[in-house]
Amino acid sequence: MSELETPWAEPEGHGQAEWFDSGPFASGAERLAWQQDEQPWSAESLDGDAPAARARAGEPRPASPFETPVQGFIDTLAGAWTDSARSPGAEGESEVPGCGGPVAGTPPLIYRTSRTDRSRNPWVGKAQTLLNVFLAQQKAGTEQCTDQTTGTRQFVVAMRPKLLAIGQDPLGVDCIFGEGTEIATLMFQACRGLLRDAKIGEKTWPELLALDVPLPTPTPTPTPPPVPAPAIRVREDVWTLSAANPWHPTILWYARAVGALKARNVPPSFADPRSWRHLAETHGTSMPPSAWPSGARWRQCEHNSWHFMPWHRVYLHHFERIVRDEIARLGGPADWALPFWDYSDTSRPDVTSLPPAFRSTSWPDGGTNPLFESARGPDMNTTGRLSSTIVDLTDAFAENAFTPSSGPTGGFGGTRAPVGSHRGGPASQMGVLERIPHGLVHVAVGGDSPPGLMSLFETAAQDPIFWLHHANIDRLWEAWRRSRARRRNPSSRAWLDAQWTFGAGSTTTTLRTRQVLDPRQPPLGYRYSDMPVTPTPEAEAVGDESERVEDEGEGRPPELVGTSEGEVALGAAVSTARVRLGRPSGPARELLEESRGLPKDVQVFLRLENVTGTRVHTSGVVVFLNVPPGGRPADFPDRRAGVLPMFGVIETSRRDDTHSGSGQTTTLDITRVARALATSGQWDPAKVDVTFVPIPDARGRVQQGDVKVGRVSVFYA
Amino acid sequence: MTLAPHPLTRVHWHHPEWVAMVVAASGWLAVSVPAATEPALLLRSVHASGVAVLAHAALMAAAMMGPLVLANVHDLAGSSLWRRRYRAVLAYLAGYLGLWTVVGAAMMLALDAVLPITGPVPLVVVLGAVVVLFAGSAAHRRHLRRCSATRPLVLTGWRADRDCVEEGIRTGWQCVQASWPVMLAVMASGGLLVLAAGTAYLFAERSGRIRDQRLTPWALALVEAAVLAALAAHALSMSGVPLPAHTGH
Repeated sequence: MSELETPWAEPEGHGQAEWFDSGPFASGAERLAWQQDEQPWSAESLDGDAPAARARAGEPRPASPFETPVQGFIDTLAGAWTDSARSPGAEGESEVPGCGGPVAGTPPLIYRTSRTDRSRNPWVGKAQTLLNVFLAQQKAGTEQCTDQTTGTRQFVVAMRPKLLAIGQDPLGVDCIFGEGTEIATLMFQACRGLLRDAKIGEKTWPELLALDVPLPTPTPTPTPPPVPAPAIRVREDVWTLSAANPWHPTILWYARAVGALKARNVPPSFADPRSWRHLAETHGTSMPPSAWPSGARWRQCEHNSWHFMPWHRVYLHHFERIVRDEIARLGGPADWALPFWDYSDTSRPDVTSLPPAFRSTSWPDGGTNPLFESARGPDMNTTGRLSSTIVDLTDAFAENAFTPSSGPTGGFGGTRAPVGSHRGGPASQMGVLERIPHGLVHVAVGGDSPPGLMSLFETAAQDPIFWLHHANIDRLWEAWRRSRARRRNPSSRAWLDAQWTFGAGSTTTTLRTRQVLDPRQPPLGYRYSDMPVTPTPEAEAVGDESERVEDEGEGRPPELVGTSEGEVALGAAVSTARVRLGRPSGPARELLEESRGLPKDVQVFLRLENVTGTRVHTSGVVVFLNVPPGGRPADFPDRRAGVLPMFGVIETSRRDDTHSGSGQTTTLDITRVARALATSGQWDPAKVDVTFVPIPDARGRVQQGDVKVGRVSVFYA
Repeated sequence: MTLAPHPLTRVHWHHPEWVAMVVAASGWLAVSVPAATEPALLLRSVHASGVAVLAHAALMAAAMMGPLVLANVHDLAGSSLWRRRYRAVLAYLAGYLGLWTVVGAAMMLALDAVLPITGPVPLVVVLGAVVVLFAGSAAHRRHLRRCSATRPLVLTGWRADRDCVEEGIRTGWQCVQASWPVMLAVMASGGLLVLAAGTAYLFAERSGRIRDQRLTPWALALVEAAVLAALAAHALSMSGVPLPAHTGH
């Protein structure tokens, strides 16, 4: 397999163009000032703090994705300091190593400036050392702040994640007053009741010098041999990790990276392609294109078509790379992989609730937990669970064709459609996996009224659980493909050659679908913990020869035989629609005329057309057929036809530049149910009653909405 | 069970949109045949007046706009009773092409009034600028999406016919709003080559073969072709090669 993926470093002259050119400055010196003063993400490397920290830890300095001539100059300085810091005899109580001289006399006023010719100041090194003492005491809880007011405590707590986000907790002692030093100074001044001006002068120095301790003698640290990242990373089940430790390192590092990415959010345009919102808006955004940053590729999500799964696989890959890069920058493991949320494991009832780390408002590093999101459904942040209906995989794994070439359903993976067409109508339908569990879980987690982040295309990826949910969907695609030898991905070039591009500038990821069909292979290189590295021969060979293989050619066309009278409103209570059936006059006519029931070769489909609404009332509705009058649908599980999710109904009902306003159309294969009814003499060839039962939320309630089905129709094929 | 029907049966079963393809092909045949004896028509169109304007507009609508609704026609046929499939398709096409014929004739008459004042090349340049600006606008994308919208239709009776005609007119109106600059520019430039290029562009953008982000560059390429054709026609006329009078198709 050829790897055409754009590496992190773009070809010369191209990689940074979109990103840096969008900034207010263009020249090297000006760009330096801009990065230092305005962009927290770049301050780390330009301050020299983080390289210094890495040097102390004996870590090799990673290649910066934003390499520039100015960056190179700064790195040279950082390297020079690193060398001198390691040299024996360069340290002393009155001398900060690598800072160009001893500290003596009256401490000067020091603060952060935007000058580009900042030389290393040993007094800054001294201050950084003392601020590290303060930070350590803060962390250990031994620091007694003079100012004990709630506001001050909250301020100090709120500052700590910012330090962490830029890799400056503790500060790197590089003798340059950078962003990290500035934040720590603010924290210190707040704690001591001083004016919070981020300047260390005649009031702050005495307080700071009171913490004076002898400078530690650096001991040469042997450079550990580089640990190569494994060829195949393993995506682990988040609930398995949580069972061992709710803040398992894999989860904790994810939280830290999310916090760092969120710290890069700079409204209103979120221009940094590594910021949390920039990544999220790629999926969907409510911002008009005129407000997007230069070069942004936003509102790209592929839904209701066969591109749904490959698009999201590449999206996750892009996201995972950025997160892993961030984790490495923060000092975490280089082989980190995105966990998945397997909510369908019926042997573990806990897994249907959100993992604890995503529900807690606090976290080990202090401050607000980056994984917590308040805009979720009722009780989802406490004891709420997803019902078994929502996480059921039966329908998805009963489907054999990824995209049937004939027949009106979306199969397992969705209907055939051009990239980004979002046509709506019968030609644009979800596959079963996109409906259930994918769509149901989205709205169940996000909530329906009002819709939370996970409930809408444009906000879903802002919730940190989104990525674990989609990792699970990606896993289920792989599991489905391996579950039967004859379950194959489409072979059409229109599907295989679809190209997906994410990010901007040097973070760009470009891949075609054909490059990501096997996640174990480069450029992806991951597998799921519950799947063997290579499928066993038994798993590959298992196949039911009696299965219909729907994608091998065009069979009999579907023929409409009846529709409902007008539209059907889906309310908080059970709704019913009657479909009057006529006799087929097309290719299925002879088969049906020869039989009084349903012949073996005839398939029956139920299509729910133009499902629209502006306010959804549930995560989805379960559809039953011919439930007896007065009967409870739940008492007739054998008459369950399928599930209609509400995810995407609001968006596809809008008449905008992304959607046609036609709403969703879903076709359910009801052959099995119809045949069972026919066998028991309860299939009436003249009519069928369709019952819609809303799925209650975690509190057992169903809200009020305005969703309606434009037409319910029945097809024979 | 996998069936292997006759190819024609297969087309009948699975591709009822063949009707729209035949209509479009007929339109192309009608507008192309005169070029066999008059090659200058490749660059410039013949003059038409009176009822002939409507006839020309109808042919252009069939040729250029027929291919744009293949997917709509497929969906419509599949959402109709088997015995009414082609009736529904014809009713839909009548509404859709009827609207385009009226709009196309109006465009021709408007161009007839303007062309003598401006000349074809400046007019094509101005309209081309409109095409490029409009191609990247949110309004253009919104109308493009609406072109493929569907709605529930009545199943039987005269209401079913009415729904199909109305659906054709609705689609046509969205298409007019999405494509009027291209149509005007193509008509102003005239000639079969630009007509074909315009059709290919409209088909590609309507079917999603051109992504939204690439619409403007492709529109620019189309405009360049239209301007070049207008310049070529102008050069030929200046060199003494006889050309038919220009008023659009």
